[in-house]
Amino acid sequence: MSEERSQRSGRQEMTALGGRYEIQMDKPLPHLDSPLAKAYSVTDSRAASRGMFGLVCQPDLLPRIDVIPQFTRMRRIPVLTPVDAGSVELPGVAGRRFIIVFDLPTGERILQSPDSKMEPLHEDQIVRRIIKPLMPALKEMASRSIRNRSIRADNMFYTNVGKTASILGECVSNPPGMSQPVLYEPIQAAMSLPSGRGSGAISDDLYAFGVTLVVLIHGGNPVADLNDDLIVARKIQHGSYSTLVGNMRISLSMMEPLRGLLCDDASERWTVEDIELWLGGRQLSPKQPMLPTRASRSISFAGKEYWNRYALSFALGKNWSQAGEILKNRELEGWIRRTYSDEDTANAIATAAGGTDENLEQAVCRALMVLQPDLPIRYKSFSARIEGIAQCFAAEYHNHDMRKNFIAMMLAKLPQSYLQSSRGSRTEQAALMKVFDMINHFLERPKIGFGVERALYESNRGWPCQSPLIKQDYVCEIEDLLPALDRVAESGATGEPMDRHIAAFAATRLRNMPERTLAMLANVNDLPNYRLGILHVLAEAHRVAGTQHRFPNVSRWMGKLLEPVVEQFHNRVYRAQLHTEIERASSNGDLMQLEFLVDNMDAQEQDIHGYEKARTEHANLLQGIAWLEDGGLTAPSRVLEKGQQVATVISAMISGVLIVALTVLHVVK
Amino acid sequence: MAGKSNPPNTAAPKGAGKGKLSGRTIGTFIILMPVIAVLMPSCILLALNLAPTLVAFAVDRTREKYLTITVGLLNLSGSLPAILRLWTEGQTYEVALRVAGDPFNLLIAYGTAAIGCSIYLTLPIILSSYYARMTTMRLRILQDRQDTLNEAWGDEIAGERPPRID
Repeated sequence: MSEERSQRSGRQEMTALGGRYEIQMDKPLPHLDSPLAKAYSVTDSRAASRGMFGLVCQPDLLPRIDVIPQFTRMRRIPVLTPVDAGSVELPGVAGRRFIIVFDLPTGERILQSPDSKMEPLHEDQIVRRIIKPLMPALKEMASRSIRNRSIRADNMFYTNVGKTASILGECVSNPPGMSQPVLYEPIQAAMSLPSGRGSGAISDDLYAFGVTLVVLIHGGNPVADLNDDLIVARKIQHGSYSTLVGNMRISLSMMEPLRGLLCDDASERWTVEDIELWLGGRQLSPKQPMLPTRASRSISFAGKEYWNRYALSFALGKNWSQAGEILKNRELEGWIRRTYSDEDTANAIATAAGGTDENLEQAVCRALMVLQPDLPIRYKSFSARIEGIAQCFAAEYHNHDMRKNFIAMMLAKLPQSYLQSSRGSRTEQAALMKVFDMINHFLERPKIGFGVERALYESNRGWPCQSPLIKQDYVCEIEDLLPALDRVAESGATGEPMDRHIAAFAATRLRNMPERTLAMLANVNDLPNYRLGILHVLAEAHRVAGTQHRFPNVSRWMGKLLEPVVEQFHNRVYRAQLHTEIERASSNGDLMQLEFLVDNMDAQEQDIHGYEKARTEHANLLQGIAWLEDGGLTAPSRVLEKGQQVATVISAMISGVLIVALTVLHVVK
Repeated sequence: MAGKSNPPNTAAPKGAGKGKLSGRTIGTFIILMPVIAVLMPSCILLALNLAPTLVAFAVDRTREKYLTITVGLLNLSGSLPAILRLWTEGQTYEVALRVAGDPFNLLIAYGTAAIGCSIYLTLPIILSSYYARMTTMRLRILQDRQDTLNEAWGDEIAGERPPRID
């Protein structure tokens, strides 16, 4: 992936990524749009005939920059792999955008949109055109532990006009799983917010692959008449296979992989090896649907009867206000105790419900964890798989309610409780626990450079800076911060090149930023120190970006803001000299030089020392002047005394001369 | 009359103390007696010539006796010609009276005493004028230095600044 800047030449019409791929904003390609990214034609300046397109990502979402380089290297597998990616300026668009460039698919999209219909594929076509051609991609991704998370019928293309083979569409333009319809997601992921599905597992891709096969066999969405909640509820109640396949005529041979891939228990789901074996002709016994244990009697909630924990947990999470009631009146606890004879779960729910009314939300959240531990963590409107919490927080950051819920959930340490009660891998749990503890650490410190903003950037490496100043510039790396601020300064920005987001972003990306700098930023009322703190951050960013770069606009902006720092020096001559040197460093675009000038400890010490000396001298001068003005020299008594003294001395001198003269005269005579 | 004849009891020991001669005074008197006896003509001559000094001593109220010293030193040096003449012509009462009666010698002795007195009286007036000028000059120097400091360090180093004297 390259991080090149747009070329200045020809900028009015086109924008070049890596100095090579020119995005033609006047040539949109809507048929190649991804759910969260628009497609435009791209021209390769080194190969004009090469057909390419680029996806322009949303500014507040992070594409999968962690897997883009890996996909870029996987050119031989049947996946639409990115050729290049990076942030560039686009004509007619304020700021910069992250774009990903692909070669044009050689065939048409298999299903035009999630809701469209198509000619159903026969089972042998499914095997020939879909399963067999895509096996190398599934194998390669599985072997590299790369999750696609965008496998769906409307994100696949035929490789030729004859429609004999297919490739998977792109999967990198948005956070993993975020663009997948609920239909393609396993129950746990489908119950999460789209942004909270997390990167998931290979089994999630295989489930989506199974759903894709059903859609292609059916010729479109087989449950198009159901909304998302109903799809999940049906999957819980009847199992995914039964929900999606329904009354479709499926041969026994095809039923086998579909049941295997649509198995709701991820540990029982078919693997890539199972598909290979099946393709090789080996007969595997079809998986039976793993339905939740049915209770001996139902529980009534929100006017409906529920017969298993799974369905009840889903309903409770969807109806948060009434969930508190059923918990408070101990109905839930009683149902578990009587119906399942599960004393441990019942006691745990009783313990969770033991909280006061003000912690009712927390109690419901804890009860849901206990009731069905493998479901996503839910806290009011927030719902995410445990590994997708941080990503969900970032994607929903600008949703005030969601952010509030996230903060409340984190401060109550509910994710940590979830991990303690779950049965996942210890290594993964430890890594997640570390992330959650770190988020808590920052949330509990609301100062600038910490707080919710720092939690955002620390838990989502690479997430673009959300500062209103530079949000449109898509600043993901610290190296991009100063160029973005320079553009802001060039456009005549006022105020300061610092806010809570920039401070948190810089503190996250600049690993060696001293605590002292953040402490300086914390006190806005101490203006000189605050401004000096800003300069420290920007100078450090300059150091990291490379000393060969120059940022004249932001330097001039900063230079003007340093007035209070310069005013701190008492010596006016030094101040004037400092002004001149700041002016020079600003014009050179050298923030490090600016920092050196105003944060000179020796000069500060000399100034303080000199000032104290001058004050003392001035006080002495004042005393002297007052003494003189009060008649210190001309007081009559003093003048009289001095006069008498001087008269005595003069008298002594004259008499001495007289005595000597008379004596000499007398001797001579 | 009764008040005058009966001073307070507390004053009695003080008055008694004043009347006694100390051993040191008596010792000095014993040593000086032969000298005075031998130099009596010189002493008489000096007593006459140094009359202004004695007057100055009587009127001088300063602790350090500046007037006495100023007049006395010049008076003494002015008496030197008479003393030298006495010692040259022979130290007798006759010569002493003759020399003492010489108006020229008296003019010199009293004239020098008068010069001493005038120095004593006029010098404070001269000094007063000198000090006034010096005050103005020093004020200007100090204020110039103040201006330099203010220029270099700003007005904050000082509080309220007195008006400048030009």
